[in-house]
Formats: sequence, structure tokens, C-alpha cells
Amino acid sequence: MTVVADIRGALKLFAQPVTDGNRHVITTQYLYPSGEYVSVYVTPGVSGSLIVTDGGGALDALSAHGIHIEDQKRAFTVVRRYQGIKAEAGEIKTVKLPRDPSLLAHAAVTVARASAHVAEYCLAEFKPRQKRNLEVEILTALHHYVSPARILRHRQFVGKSARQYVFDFAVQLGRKGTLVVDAVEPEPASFLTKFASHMDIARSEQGKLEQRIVYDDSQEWKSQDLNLLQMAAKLVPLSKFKNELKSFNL
Amino acid sequence: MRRSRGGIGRCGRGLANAVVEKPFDQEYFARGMRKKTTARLDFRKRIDAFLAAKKTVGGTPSWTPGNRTDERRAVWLVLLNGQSVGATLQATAYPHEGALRFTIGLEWPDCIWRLDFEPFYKHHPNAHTEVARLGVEPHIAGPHYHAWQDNRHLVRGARVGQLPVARAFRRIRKWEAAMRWFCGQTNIVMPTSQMLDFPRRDRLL
Repeated sequence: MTVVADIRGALKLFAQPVTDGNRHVITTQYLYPSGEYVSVYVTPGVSGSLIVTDGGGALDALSAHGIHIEDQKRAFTVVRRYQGIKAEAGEIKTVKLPRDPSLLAHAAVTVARASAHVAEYCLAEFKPRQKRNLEVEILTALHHYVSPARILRHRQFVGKSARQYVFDFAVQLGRKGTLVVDAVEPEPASFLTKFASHMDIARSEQGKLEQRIVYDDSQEWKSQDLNLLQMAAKLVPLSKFKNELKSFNL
Repeated sequence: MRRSRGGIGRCGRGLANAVVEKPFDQEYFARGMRKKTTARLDFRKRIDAFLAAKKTVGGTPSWTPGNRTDERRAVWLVLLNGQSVGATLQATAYPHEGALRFTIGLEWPDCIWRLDFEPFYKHHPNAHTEVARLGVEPHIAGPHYHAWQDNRHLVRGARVGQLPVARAFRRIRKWEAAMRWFCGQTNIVMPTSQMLDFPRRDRLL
């Protein structure tokens, strides 16, 4: 077998359209950031026209990386750099093309290039932010004001309902009672659990408890979620936590 | 400010309802204090340890609209020792496509493990360097998975990247079995009550 035959065999994949329902799928030589080939879809329209799309592949590449974007207009800004294509309903597509093989080749390559470009741009632009380690930061702040021996981790208290709850930190305040500090994340499973536990121990008749729920104010929070948490205990943004500790004269 | 050595004992007795006290973890604390040291800890080892640890899922998820009209997305909060560590298990499904198609990923916060259940006409090539190094297939058509173990050596700095190395996923052909397989590979305990059925089509065309 000659080298030319090897090359032909290797590139055969790109010249083999596959039919999927009413559309034809072409594997192109462009790659998404995750290494997958970009596929473009050719859909025959009425009166023999053709539409070439990426089938939403650029956005699917983001979904696969767990990135959910609200502002799709911003995601597709780079599409403007390519002539003759547009972004519509989450897909990159051409206008209706007359049935002409020479136009089809250029359209397929342009759509594929734009799709890979959008995916690359969005993966860099909408990269998930590294979350701060809230518990470690709370612990660091506590140590500035309280000796390590007075800080208890994962302290359990029993609420009025007789249910038992674990709190991230408990600081002994002497005659003033106990300061209970909990870190909360902007996920329903986290804040609803904290809400229930703080509501319940606030109603229990045990030693004097000062309750504080600390949240990372550099993260996106819905105001209604913060309002809900505020009903259970005093809510403190992480950036103000040291000021809050100062107020206790520890 | 007076710091009494006996303070803890007195206050502890005052709290009748306090059940168990976990002693303060000095080592954990020291790690938190020495921020620079924490940052220097090998990022890859942290992910190794996270994947090796037994994890649970919190909350009851539901399918919500994804990035596209035809896409459905579900997110489970991943808990380590019952606590949120900012990790999520995410699934994306495409119920309107002719063939079964979905993606399952573990994000912390970047995607560190992913299963792409793609139709046969979608192709994933592996770089020739990785084919020689890991013995992976040079070209995969259809379902495949991107394991952390295969992509670990490609990580630079403190971000995971795009997990370019994949292996074929051929044995399983059903959503639930694939989800269970994924949870098994990533050490996530997924109770039946928190498992979701594959979303149904909500329109005819």
C-alpha cells in the first residue's frame, strides 16, 4: 500500500456524509477544544435550497463542560467575523444556499470554523470560577480573634424539633454563650439545610447562642435566597466577617 | 482580653444539648493558615484524592432547560463527608434527537470526568502522542468517556483543561446504566430516589 493510499484512507472520514433523519452530517477537519471533530449538518429546504448548520455543536461543547450561559448573544459575538453566517436559536447557520456544490464546500468549512471558534471563546470567557474555600477562610478569620482551643469544628446541637444538626464552627464566648458559625453555598441543598438547622436551634431553649451564617459575597446569589437565610440567623458576607467578629470583643 | 484555659470546660457544661464535640484539627487549621502552602499543594493530587473519596449527592434535581431549546440539564450537588465542596454532577440530555444522546460530567469546578454518549456519526480522535503513551484508540466513533486518569498528565497550572483523551464506551446502551457506571467510576453514591429518568420529548417535531 502506498503512502498516498494511506492518506486517502485516513481522510476518507471527511468525505463521507451520513444521513440522520432529514439532514446530512459531514465530519469536518476542525476540532472542538475537547478534541472532537466539528460536525456540520446540511438540511435540504424547500425549492431545492440548502441550509448548513453546526447543529448547536458549539453550545453542546459548553454543556459538556458544565457551562450554562444565559447571555447567548455574548457567546456568539465572534460569529460576526465570518461572512455569510449567523447565530440563531443556539445554532450557527448559513442563509439558504442554492444547490451548488462549490458554495456548499465553503459554507460547511466556514460554519465548522466558526463553531470551533465560538466553543474556544466561550470556554475561556465563561470558565467556571474557582470557588474560595469558605470554611478555611472562616477558620483563618476566627484565628485572628480567638485562640484555637476555643474553636470547635463540626459541633452538634439539638433543635427544638429534637433533630440533631452539625454546625461548621462553634466558638465559646464564656458568659456570652456560644457563637455558632456556618458556611453556606449558593446551592439549594446547602442553603435550605442551613436554613432549617438555624431556625430549629434558634427556637430550642438551650444556652445562649449567637448564630451567624457566612456566605461568599464574590459568588452570585439570588436575593430571595439571601432573604430566606436572613430569617434563620444573622447573615454575614465573608468580606465583612472580620468586622463582625470584632463586634464580639473576643 | 483574657483567655481563660478553663473557659471551654465551663461553657461546655453549660450546653446541655451539645452531643459530640470534635476536637479542633490543628493540621487542617495550619493548612488553612499557610495559604501559600495550600496553593502549592499539588493540584492533581487534590483531584486524585477527591475522586478516590466516597461522595454522596444532595438535593432532588429535576430537568431544566439547557443552553439550547432542545437540551435538558440536571445538576446534583456532590457532597464530601456530607458537606458541599463546590462540586457538581451534571447531566445534559437531548430527548428530541433520533438516537439516545446525553453527557454526564463531574465538575469541581472544571469538568474532571466526562461521559459523552454521542451518536455514531460523531467522531473523537486521540492525539498520536497519547495513542503511543496510553494505548488508546486513535479514533472513536460514538459514545466515549474522558477519564481523569487518562488526562491527568496533561494538566498544567491550576486548571484542568478540556480532557482531550478519550476511550470508547461500548458496553452500555441505556441512560440509567450509564449513569450508574459513571457514579461507580467517580465514587459517587447515587440512591435510586435521587436518580432521574431520561427526559421525555415534550413536542412532536
